[in-house]
Amino acid sequence: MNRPDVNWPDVNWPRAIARWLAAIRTATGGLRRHKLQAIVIGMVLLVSTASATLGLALLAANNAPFQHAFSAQHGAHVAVTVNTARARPAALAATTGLHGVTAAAGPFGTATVPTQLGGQAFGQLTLAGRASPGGPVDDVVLSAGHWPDCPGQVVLDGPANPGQGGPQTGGTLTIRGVRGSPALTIVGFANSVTNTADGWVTPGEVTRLQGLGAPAGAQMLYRFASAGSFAQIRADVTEVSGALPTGAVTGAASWLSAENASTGNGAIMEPFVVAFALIGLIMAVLIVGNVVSGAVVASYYRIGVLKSLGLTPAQVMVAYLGRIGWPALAGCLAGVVAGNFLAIPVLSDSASVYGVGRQQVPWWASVLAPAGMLALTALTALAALGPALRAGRLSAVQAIAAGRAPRTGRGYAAHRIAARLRLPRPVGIGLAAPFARPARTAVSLAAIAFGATAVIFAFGLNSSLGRAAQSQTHSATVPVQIQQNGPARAR
Amino acid sequence: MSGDVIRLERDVIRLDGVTKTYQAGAPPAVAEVSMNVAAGEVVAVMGPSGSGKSTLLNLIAGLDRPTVGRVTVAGRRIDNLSETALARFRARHVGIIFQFFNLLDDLTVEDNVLLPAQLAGASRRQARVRAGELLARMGIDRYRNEYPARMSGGQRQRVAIARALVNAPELLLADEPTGALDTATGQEIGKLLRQLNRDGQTLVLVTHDRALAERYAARTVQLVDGQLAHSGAEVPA
Repeated sequence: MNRPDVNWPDVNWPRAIARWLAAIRTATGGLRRHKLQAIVIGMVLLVSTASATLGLALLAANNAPFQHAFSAQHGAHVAVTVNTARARPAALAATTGLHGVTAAAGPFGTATVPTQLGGQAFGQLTLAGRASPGGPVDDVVLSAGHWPDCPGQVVLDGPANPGQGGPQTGGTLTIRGVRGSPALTIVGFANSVTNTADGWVTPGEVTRLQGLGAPAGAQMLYRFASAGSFAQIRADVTEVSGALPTGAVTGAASWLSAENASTGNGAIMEPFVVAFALIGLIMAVLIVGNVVSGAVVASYYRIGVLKSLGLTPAQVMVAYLGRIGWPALAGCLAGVVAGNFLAIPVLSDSASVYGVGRQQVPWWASVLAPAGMLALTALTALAALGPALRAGRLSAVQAIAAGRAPRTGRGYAAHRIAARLRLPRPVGIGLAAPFARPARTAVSLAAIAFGATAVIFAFGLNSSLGRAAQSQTHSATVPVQIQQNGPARAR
Repeated sequence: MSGDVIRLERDVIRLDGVTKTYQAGAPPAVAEVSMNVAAGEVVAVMGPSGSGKSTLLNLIAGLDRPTVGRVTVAGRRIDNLSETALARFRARHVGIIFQFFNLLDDLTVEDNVLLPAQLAGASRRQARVRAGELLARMGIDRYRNEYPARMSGGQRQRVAIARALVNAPELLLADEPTGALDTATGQEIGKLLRQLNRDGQTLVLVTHDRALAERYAARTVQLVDGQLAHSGAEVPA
């Protein structure tokens, strides 16, 4: 007998595992031989992960944005304006030790002055003199440019890109109502969550403006142990006022007012932001599940052949999870990076909408991003695991048969009904075909429905929201006809 | 129990009362078949379409399980093995040639051939050496880096035969090996299988081609409606 004696020698377990994996690597055929499938899976995961990351970032940004910003910026519960002619610095300093005061900053000199920008009136601005944006209270967020480091510079309160016609970095703000009408160069934009000032200059600049005729004043910023209601705020202000000479306190701004204004700004957008974020997340889950399970189901025939050659169920599962897993992992990683990059302008815009200066991916998002990636990878694995397990359990003959044609008995009724319809046969067959795999069809339909919803939201609601926002801010112009001699009478 | 080990002097295949039913209430695809195939024998399983030939082959290969009965191949009872054990058994002891080749189109000819050797525990280097020998023997070693889709039917079937032989299995099963080939190529493949048998290879051939069976098989087994209608050494080798 000439049959060769091929008896592959047994090896120690590390080499046996290496050979086991090598066999799987050969069986999967390598990613370069499945470029298209790898690219499709990678791209789907990239887009899905990016949209999921973006969705989560939006959800995070939309979750009590004022409170988060207030907490992050150590916002002032009360900004008290004082007449420095009546209150000496020592008396002001003494108020920081009052019962209930947990933190304080100031006094910061202020100058409330009318201004001009580009030759046009720019309104009356309260400029505060602060050497730096930070501090124990009202940690101002610099969103563009730099903090004033010498006289003649100003940082304005507002978004980094106010739009055409608005103030720009490098522009000149002319101070009116004081001698010489000095000009200040705009060197940046910043935001105070409680709007403690309209702009910030160096303390020396405030002194100079006061010397030129601006009304003298200063502000003290406080945080209190109890400041959750207007009544508590009133009590806190009364306590501060009581500790200063009569008439020293000329005004007080509550954080609750700032919160109301901020909530009003963002409230109209909130449900849609949440809806977009959720749609993004749901679509990501549906599409990943559909594509990945489809990739495995499409491989049934191949799985059958591999099983006939001697691949064990575990090897089949590992081979197919591996084949889908690597491009999925790469897609997830790229998606997280892309999602974070996309989140930067989106969060900037949402911060502008909410008027909270800057929104950053919160600390837990650093955990959430990789967790999201892992979750999507796990989702991918789960989506692939079901069909892969089923393929592993199928006999080789069944897998080959399933790979060649859908399981018998599926969609027969739909085909019978479609055949009776007065439709061209190809159309009837096409109509009935989805019923052969009803679950997959349902998932596809759901993904399409969510996609259509997102498109409608994006295009349809844009103008509606614009109008709603316009009416909310009362910025629309309405032509009004005034007749000097009363309404004309019909003759 | 992972399978009874039965030491047989001559038989590579033993089927005892094997029945396969796919759906309850439906007639069995294979009904109470009992047969033996001795080492070095070539047996042709014949019968009309739907007679259960391929089902019988699948049961012998361990690609499917009998509903009733006992299947013993290469001295090992395989009908009660787990899927994993069955896969390992197939990788080491059984080579299968399919009518439509069942090659993996995304693997090169060489990778197609060496894969079962890797699955059986060979290193890639060992498997490549063995694959090279077989491809040379089949006369297609110059196609080792080609992809099967670019080859003719006859060349593909040679690749499939090389793949089936890479672990030098005790048993070679061929399901309509010439069914997808033209007559001349079919005869070449037939001669190749006969040469393998002369070298000692046990071969079970499923075919409805009487000429192929008469020319190359030492014995024919006739199946009709899943039942063994005839079994005997009536065709001379």
